[in-house]
Formats: sequence, C-alpha cells, structure tokens
Amino acid sequence: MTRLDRPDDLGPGTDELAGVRRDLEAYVRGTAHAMPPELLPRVLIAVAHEAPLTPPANFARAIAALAPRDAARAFGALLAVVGGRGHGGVGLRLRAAALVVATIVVLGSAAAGATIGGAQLVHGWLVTQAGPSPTATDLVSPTPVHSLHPATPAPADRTPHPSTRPSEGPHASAEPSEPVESAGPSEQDGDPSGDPGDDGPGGSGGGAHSPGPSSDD
Amino acid sequence: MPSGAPVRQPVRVTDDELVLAITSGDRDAFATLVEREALMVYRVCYRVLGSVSDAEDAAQETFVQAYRALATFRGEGSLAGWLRRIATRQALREVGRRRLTTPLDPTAPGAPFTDATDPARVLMSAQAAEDVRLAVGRLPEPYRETVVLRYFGELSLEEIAHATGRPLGTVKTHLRRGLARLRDALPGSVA
Repeated sequence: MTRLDRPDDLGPGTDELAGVRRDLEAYVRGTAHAMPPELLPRVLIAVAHEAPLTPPANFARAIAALAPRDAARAFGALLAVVGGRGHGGVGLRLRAAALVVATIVVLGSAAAGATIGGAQLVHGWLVTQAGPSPTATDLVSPTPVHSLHPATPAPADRTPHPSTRPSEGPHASAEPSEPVESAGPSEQDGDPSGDPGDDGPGGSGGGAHSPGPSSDD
Repeated sequence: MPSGAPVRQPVRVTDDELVLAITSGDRDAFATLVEREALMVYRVCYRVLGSVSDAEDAAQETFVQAYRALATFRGEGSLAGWLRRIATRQALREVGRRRLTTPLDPTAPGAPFTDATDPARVLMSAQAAEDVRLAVGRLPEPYRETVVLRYFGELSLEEIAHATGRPLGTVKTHLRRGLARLRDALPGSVA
C-alpha cells in the first residue's frame, strides 16, 4: 500500500485528471520493486570517504558559510555535546566546550564594544545638541596631555638627544616663573617641557622616573 | 549462554535523535538512516531515470549530498521528505544531463511490469511506462518536481509542502497544473 491510494483533494474540476492519475499510479506500482542488494554497502563506502561530522566542524562550517541560522543550530548542538548528549568522547566534549567559551567571549566582546560605541555615539549626540562648552574643554584638555606624555615616548626616541640635556637643565631652572609651572613637578617625572626628546639621556635608562636624578646632577 | 550471531533489533528513533547522532559523528546512525530510507530513495531515482545502474548512482550521490548537508536540516518536515527531495533533484539533474534519451529496458531485471506473463503485454506496458516517465521528465518546473515528489516519491501534499517550503495551496496548484499538462502530453490519459 502506498500513499497514492488516497486521492488528493485538488479542488473542483479535477475529475478530468483521473486518467492521468491512473497512469501515474500504474507506473508507480509497476516500478515498486526491491533495490539492488549492493546499494547499501556501496552508499556506506562512499560516505566513509567523507569528512566526519562533528558539532565543532558543523559550527565552523556554518560560520564560514555566513549562515546565522545554521550557526545557531550548530551552537545548540555544541551545547548538547557539552551537556553530555549525543555521540562523542571526552576529546570532542573538550573541543566543544572550548568553542562554546570562545564564542561566548567573542560575542561578549562584540556586545560590550557595541554598547560602548553606542554610548559614545549617544554622548556625542547629546553634547552636540547641548552646544559647545568652552570652559569645560579648557579646563579638562591640558591635564591629560601632560599626564599622558611620559608614558608615550619610546626609548629609541630619547637616545638621539644626549647633548640637549645639560643645556635644558639650567634653562629650565633659570626660568622658574615660566607660565608652565607644571614643568617643575613634571621634570621630576622626566618631562620638563612635555617634549619626549628633552629628557633624552636620563630616559635611556628607562621610563619616566629616571630623568629626574640626571637633571638634578 | 547465547550462541550464534546477535540478532539486531530494529530500534525506532525519531528524526531529531537520528540527526543529532549523525551530526555528532556517529556513522552507525547514518547507516541506520540509509537502511531506513534507501529503498524509497532508490525508487524515486529509478522512476525518474528508468535505469537500475543510473538509479544506483543517483541514490548514492543523494546520500553523500545528504550527509554533507545534514547539519543544515532544520527539522521543519520529515527526514524522509527531505531526502526524497534531494533524490528528486539529483535524478532530475541527471535526466537533464542525459536529455531523456535512455529508454527503459523491458527485459532488464527489475524493469516495470516484468511480472506480466504475456510478452506482448510486457512490451506494451513497458512502452506506456516509458511514455509516462518521459512526459513527467518534460514537465516544466515547478510542476515536474511536485509531480515527482507526489507520485514517484509517494509523499503526501503536506510533506511536499514541508520539504519544499511552499504553502499547501501552492503545492496543490502546482500538482493540478502538472497533471493537466501531463494529460495533454499523454494521449491515452482520458478520464
């Protein structure tokens, strides 16, 4: 018995198709014979040459194919394997767990980045809407410029200026009433003028704290 | 103490369980799927192609394709319907390659209507079968696929709707139009 025994309801006016239906059904009945016995082993041998299907491989394949729905399904299969469902040994579970963790980290980072970016966009839009506030920028902008400079110069940038240091030292001390009074404290930090090249010799030893003693000498 | 080879008891597993096992790397589960569906996949291919060896090739290729794509099976329809649609497309692709030139061999083992005792009737029936097969193969899409899935694949209209992702009403329309075209192509098919 086949599913063809029950006629389809194709709507009114289809009685005239009964003849062609009978022909098709007769053809199907006449070709309902057994399959060749060698087909099963042949198929299994052919499939044995294919790469094995595993949840990590399926997930990677779905990601590579940019198929989010398939990737979501494959991720569900990964979770199932981590949870102990399905077929696979400890190695497969470990790989699946590593992939799950990596995916969560990547997605979390992307979500955090998107959140921060969105917040910055909203902040920028709000600032634009509120209009410029010069007093706030004047007060805030100099401080980070001075505080950031000692950390930015590379050691290689400091070495080419050994001769500038002796002359810079007296010059800096001879003008204590310079408008940039912060040069005093910042000289102890190794940056008398805010220029990375000025603290060359002391800076070659390393870091922001070494120029201080050399200038005092 | 048990003696002899162990008797393999058929275990009925759901499509979801089977797919999960196969996509987890269980090749035995795929062998179960092949055992379960090979007969119908082979019959679909044979009914389209009319040749035992070509049907075997198409059935094998169907299972290889299904194995590669099994991770994308979404479980919206039956696994059987999904497989028979792959078989249909594979066989029709082969038909397009051969341009329907290979006739059915009425004396080949497994050929249609070989159970008839009268040789003349065997030849006439074989000719009628060949006419049906060629007429179906010449249908335009999507009527051809719908007719093949319904009759050669023995799927219900609902299963065809699931397998193709088309609404049930559309499947009915395609089948009705396909049958109407077939009636015109087969001169003996009068109601």
